[in-house]
Amino acid sequence: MSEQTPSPDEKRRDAAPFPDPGDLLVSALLLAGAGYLYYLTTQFEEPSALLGENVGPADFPRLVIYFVAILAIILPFESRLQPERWQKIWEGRHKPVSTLTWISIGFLVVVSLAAPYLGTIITMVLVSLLLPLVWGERRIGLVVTFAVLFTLAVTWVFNVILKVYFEPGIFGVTAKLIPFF
Amino acid sequence: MDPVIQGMSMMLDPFNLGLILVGVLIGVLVGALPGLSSPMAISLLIPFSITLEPIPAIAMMAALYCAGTFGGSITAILINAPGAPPAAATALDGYPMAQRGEAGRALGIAAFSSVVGGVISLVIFLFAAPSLAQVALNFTPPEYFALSIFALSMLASISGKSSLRNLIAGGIGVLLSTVGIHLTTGIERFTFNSDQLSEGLNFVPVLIGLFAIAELLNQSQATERVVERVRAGVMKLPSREDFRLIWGTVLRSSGLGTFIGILPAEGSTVAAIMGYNEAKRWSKNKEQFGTGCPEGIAGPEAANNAATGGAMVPTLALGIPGSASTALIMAALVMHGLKPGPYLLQKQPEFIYALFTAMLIANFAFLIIGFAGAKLFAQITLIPRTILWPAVLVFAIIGSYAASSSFFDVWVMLISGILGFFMLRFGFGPAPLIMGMILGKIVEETFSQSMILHDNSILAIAERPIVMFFFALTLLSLAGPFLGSWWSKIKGMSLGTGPQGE
Repeated sequence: MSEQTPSPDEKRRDAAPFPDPGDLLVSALLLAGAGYLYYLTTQFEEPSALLGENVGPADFPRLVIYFVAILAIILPFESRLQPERWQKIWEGRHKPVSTLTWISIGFLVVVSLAAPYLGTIITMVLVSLLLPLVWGERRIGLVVTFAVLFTLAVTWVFNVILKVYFEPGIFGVTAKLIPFF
Repeated sequence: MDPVIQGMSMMLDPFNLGLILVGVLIGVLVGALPGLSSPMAISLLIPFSITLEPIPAIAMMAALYCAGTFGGSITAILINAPGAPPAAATALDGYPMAQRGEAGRALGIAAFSSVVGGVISLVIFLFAAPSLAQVALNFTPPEYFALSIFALSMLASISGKSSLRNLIAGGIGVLLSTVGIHLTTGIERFTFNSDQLSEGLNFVPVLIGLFAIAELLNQSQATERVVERVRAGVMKLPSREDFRLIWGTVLRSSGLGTFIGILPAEGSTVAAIMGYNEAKRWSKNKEQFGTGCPEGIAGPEAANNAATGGAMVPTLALGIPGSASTALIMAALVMHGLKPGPYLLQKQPEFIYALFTAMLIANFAFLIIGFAGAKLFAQITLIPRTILWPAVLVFAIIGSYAASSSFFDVWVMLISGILGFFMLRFGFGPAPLIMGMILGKIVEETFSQSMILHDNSILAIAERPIVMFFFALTLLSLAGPFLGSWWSKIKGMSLGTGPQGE
């Protein structure tokens, strides 16, 4: 059989320590989460004596917590148990999260926090205007046209036709302010 | 009125027919666009469907589900970019055929095979669902508990990168389903004194976050794809020679796809891959596979579309979803106040005929739409992602907000989306989590009822024959992926093809 030269990715993967630090971190996070949730189950109120004979409110969640915790302990050994499948996961995650993704996450957080104050329509305009720019779109005319027409279309379909309530926000912008709506 | 006529006439109402066609259009569109998927489109559609009557709303989603599976084949054939995972196998022979200048033929074979697969599976669905429901009517809580556990265990083999991670995601989903007031005792669990959480976690924003926002973040690190486009020409029906060549494959794959679809948690992607493999195994032209072989297109297309009808069987008859999309359709049923399972089919028998009609119409509609607009649908891939994904984000925000006109749900969506993105990076899929969230309630409810019925003795529950049968299946499905790996390893070593260095 002919020997194949491993690619740089394969070399790095083969040199990865066992257990994999990424898997160890996920496993630790899952175990910590399981521990915290278990603690919360100990804080549930006690059911009345009449209902106390049955399955309690903490019983089922605890069973699931045990189940997840056991699987979390096995997780770092997956690279040995199912090496082919594990390799695919490794290939997917060893590339760092891009700066644009972090910026997008930040954008989403800001938009979600500001949305109740801005109101639904302004939030839609901002999202359709700013996210394309954040993602590198430089055709300003296209972006503005998209932001205006798309917001109008969504407002007309969902607010006017389907009667979904749109929050006016502190600026009081509603569909009634839009001519012909 | 006869439920058959009632169900069918309901779907022939012009408004409902319009909804089905809208579902088909959206389905073909999202199916064709790489990155967008049927589960994502259904998740975005659920909050808006609340204003509709339950049956037309579900029919629209079922039509979207069917058409979404077909839509993926258009871009798989024309630009070698499967719009949806079930179409990945179609690209293996569809694209080479299109490169040879036979794009119309490839699209025609895909459309024909999809329709035949879809129709065959619907006929099976029409007869199998009520029969299965009839059997399930005799199930008591212990049997339901065991069945739900089996369905959860099938998460281990759901399409994804890791059985172990699928099970963990499913477990987290089950835990999320326990948030809120415990039904038996009225005690609050994991609510953190929040009024919004005391009624439980609304799964619509969670699923929008997991399917739409996580993918949006994933797309933010993708580069604009430069694709080589093949001229579509016009879609052509397969020739007599093609029919002669593919009919056996289409029938076999339709049966196989329906069967795989019926299995809880297995979906169209698995069906398509198996459809392709079986088409190759039975073919007399094995060496032509991968170079534009008609059977290589017919096999996966018939199988993946047949899986859609198959997946509806356990969803409606047992209340156990057959795939990620049917899990969402089930979520929509619950949102409309309907409880999927045998009692639904017993109380509203017209429901199954309405769905059958809707999916049948959808199958023929996408055939017509495909013939008329294959070229057009191939063009939609030209929409820049810098415009497409902000539009998806707007729909995601409106969809999460609309369910209860609360920005709390938008935050739930956001958190689910960010978590979903990192989960995906670490190999945890969104579908098992959603299935866990939906099945979790059934598991806990039936577990509590079973324990009450059997004086809190788990042994008494396990002694029942059907329970034992499902528990045995559960053990097999849990061990299956690991046994498979070991078996391949042993086989590889005995053939002298073991991993290098061993």
